Amino acid sequence: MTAKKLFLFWILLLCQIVCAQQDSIVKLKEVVVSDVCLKNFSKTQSVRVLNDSVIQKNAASLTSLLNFNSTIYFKENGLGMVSSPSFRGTTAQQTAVIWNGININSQLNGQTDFNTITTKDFENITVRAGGGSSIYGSSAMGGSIHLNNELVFNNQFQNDLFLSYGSFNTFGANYKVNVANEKTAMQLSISRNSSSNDYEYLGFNNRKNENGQFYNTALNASFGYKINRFNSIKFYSQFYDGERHFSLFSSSETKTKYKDFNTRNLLEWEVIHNAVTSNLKIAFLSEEYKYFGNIDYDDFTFGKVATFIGKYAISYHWNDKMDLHTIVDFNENKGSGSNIQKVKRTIASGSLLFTHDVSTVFNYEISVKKEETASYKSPILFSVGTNLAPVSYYNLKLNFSRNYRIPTYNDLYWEQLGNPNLKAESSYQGEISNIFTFKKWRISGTVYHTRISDMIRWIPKGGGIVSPENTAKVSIIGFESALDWAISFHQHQFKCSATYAYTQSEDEATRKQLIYVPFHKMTAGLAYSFKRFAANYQYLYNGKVFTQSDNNPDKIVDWYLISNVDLAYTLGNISKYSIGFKVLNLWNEKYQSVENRPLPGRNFNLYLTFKF
Amino acid sequence: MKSFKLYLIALLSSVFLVSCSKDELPEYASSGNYHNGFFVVNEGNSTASSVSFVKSDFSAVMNNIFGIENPSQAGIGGNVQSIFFDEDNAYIISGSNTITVVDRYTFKLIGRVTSGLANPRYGVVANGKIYVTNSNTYSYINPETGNTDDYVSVINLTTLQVESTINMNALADKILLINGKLYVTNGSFGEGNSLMIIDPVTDTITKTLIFGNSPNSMEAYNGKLYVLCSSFSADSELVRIDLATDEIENTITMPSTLSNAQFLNVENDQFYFAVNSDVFASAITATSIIDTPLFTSTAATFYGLQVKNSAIYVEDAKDYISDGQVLVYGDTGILAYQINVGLIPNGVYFN
Repeated sequence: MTAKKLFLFWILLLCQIVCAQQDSIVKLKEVVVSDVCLKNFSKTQSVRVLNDSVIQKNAASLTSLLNFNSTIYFKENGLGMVSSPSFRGTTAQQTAVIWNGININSQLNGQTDFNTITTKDFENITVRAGGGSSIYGSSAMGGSIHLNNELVFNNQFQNDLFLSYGSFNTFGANYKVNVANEKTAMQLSISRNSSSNDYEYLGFNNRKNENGQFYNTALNASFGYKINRFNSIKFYSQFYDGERHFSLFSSSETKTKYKDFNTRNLLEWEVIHNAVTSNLKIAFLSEEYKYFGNIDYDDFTFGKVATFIGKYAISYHWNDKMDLHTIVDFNENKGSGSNIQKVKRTIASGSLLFTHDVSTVFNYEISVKKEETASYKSPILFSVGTNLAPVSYYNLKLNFSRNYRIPTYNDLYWEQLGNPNLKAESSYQGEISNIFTFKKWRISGTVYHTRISDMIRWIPKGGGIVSPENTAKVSIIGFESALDWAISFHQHQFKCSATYAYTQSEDEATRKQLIYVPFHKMTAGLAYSFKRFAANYQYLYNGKVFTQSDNNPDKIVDWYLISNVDLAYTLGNISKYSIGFKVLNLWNEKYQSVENRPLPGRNFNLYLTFKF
Repeated sequence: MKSFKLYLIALLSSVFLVSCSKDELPEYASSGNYHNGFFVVNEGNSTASSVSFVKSDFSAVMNNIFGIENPSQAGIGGNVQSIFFDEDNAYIISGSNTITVVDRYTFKLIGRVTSGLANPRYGVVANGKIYVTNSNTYSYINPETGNTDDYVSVINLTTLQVESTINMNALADKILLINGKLYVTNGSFGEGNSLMIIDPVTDTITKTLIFGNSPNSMEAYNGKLYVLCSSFSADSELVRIDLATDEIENTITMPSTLSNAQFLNVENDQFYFAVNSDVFASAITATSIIDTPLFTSTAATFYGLQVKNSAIYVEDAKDYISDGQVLVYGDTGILAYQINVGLIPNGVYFN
């Protein structure tokens, strides 16, 4: 009913917009991304962009990129194994991963495994801290990670090839081709990563990481075509196929493996007419996993969900100062699996987003979203924020939002145990950011407070049965800081960036820190280049984490501090070739991020890049 | 190096990990004499399990005793299922497909069985050999043969090598040695409905008894074998087998309110079992079972039940991610002790 009302409201609104404004100037940007809200509706929150050059410098997995370049904490079950984030002290299901504007968290378990995303297929990966559910939907509670393909409309034909080989028979390749003119832009890329992953466990007598081998292949295509002055279409596509054996803690364990197959397709049609932009998106996503409980047998358990998304946005752009977006969204999931009932779920939603640059010193944003579905109860979501710039070098950002995480297929439809009466988890969050920007450096500090209620937890029900319930409340207080500094003299260039986060994330009933949430995390990077030579040093500190909810001081994963170093030299003039060498875990630190799951000691990687 | 030091600190500090919200137990200072008390198996997670020891007068508890007694050795594996004993040895069965053999009084490592096991469950020593049930694959992953590929490993007591396997063509779970014969229940999580008798001289199945429901626990008492059979759907049954003839003598069908009854114990001429957090007791001479509990346990996650003399031991796994407790009740259900142990305690074993 609500969806219908919103639709009517939107129709009325549309008429007014169309009638009212005919004279605004249309500007098409050269670089086009699908996720326009990231630029237009994220001014009152803290956003950190990791561009192409940062992505290229880091290892191929999203875990590795964000671990060394953001405040997000990762719990990794051994190198390349299942990796779950904790962003601002929240759970893995409370971080949203957004692919070209579309939420791609699993419908089955509500999270994204960050070791199943290859980074080199994207030109821009953005970390948006804090609540964003009113724009990006479920899971954008701790924050959201945005994977963007950029389409560049100018004459070009460019090839990029990256090849790497290193310790433990680790192979990486990425090939990307961009073909474009003023009207058409096309990008194709393929990534392949594989590893025997049989690293030695430091401090264990000759024990190796057994049964840890993995491979993955990702195919990507992006296509943009400007039909005429007003109309353009874009198409994005991704196929991901990966297989991981799950590493053993002791040799006698039963060997298992896990396969992922995900597809993502998005077609977008945009009409820009004066101040009005109409944007229709149609997306098909599919996810499928297969778990082989014993690799000696062909038997597996599986889960799969096919998702259809239809999203229509009508935007009104007023005097370069105000933007109003009205979005209606329809989402249909069809899921099935070994242990979940075959269920079709439909969700409709409507949202309003408004941003207003009152003056150069004062901007505010408001967004509201409401969802309708028969599958679970969900709250009204909103975000209000302001960005004040009283002086040129200082910004003060305030934001308050309500966010949510919807119950997953597993939560709702697990055979006999799922609970069909669940509500969405929801949170209120407030944050204050101070940002100082000078010519050579930028420093920011953010304090936030989040209260999450109706946390979905699987609770013991007697007789060895567990079933999900909306039960716990969590209160999080945190501080985040980022520093960027760049200086050059003669031909020497230095760049330094660092992040730090303090996170206190407590269960309100027990006043205990959530498990696998560190109080402290720090990252730092120092890059130096001189003519054709470049060096890069990375540093990561992760504080201790509790592994038990009673915060037993003996049941912890200890803090660790690891460093990587990367040296590269570029050859060639028109075409560029570079050769590089990396030492990972330079000081051979013995560490793990999950109890009894050691991560590799010092290891090496040689890489080549070609641009032609 | 840093982590190793921390490991040592963790080991040492676990000695002091003694707490008891009802009666504070002091630390158990002496090591090397795990006598006159009981072990608690802490199932833990897939990589770390532990064993605790509590003195029989409840005067002290010591956690992680294998780690303390064998600091330089690899641990006992993850998901530890059970312990069984033979003479001076204790055999610790881990879901990591390992059996760790220790001296039952010093808990010093003697040896390990590391091959030939696939999800081992329970064991016993008979006729100079070790017999261990193995779940092998599970039906939820392998619907075709998951319930029929279970087997019993026959292991050489000296070399700790698997010498042969007895294919059950059914599930295999609990195992007991009675009068020189092995009794194996063919039930797991409500599936399977029989019991097989194995002759340890020939290592062959000599008899199969069929029940109306799935056996989950059994105990021999005064010449009879009592088997509790239950599932989530059908009514629970209490079966009495005459050990002289190995025939079913009597079956009591319980009220439907007692479905999924678990953890049969026979002690003091009484049956004890649990449904969810309720503990029931009934005279072994009873012809029917009444659905009034003896008491309701305060356990957040009722994970195991043992009755010894006049004490009732309940294992509480809490939320599965914090240290569990052994709750000790008097025979009328009065809570006497709450003993903090390790992660997910699943059973106590008297030594």
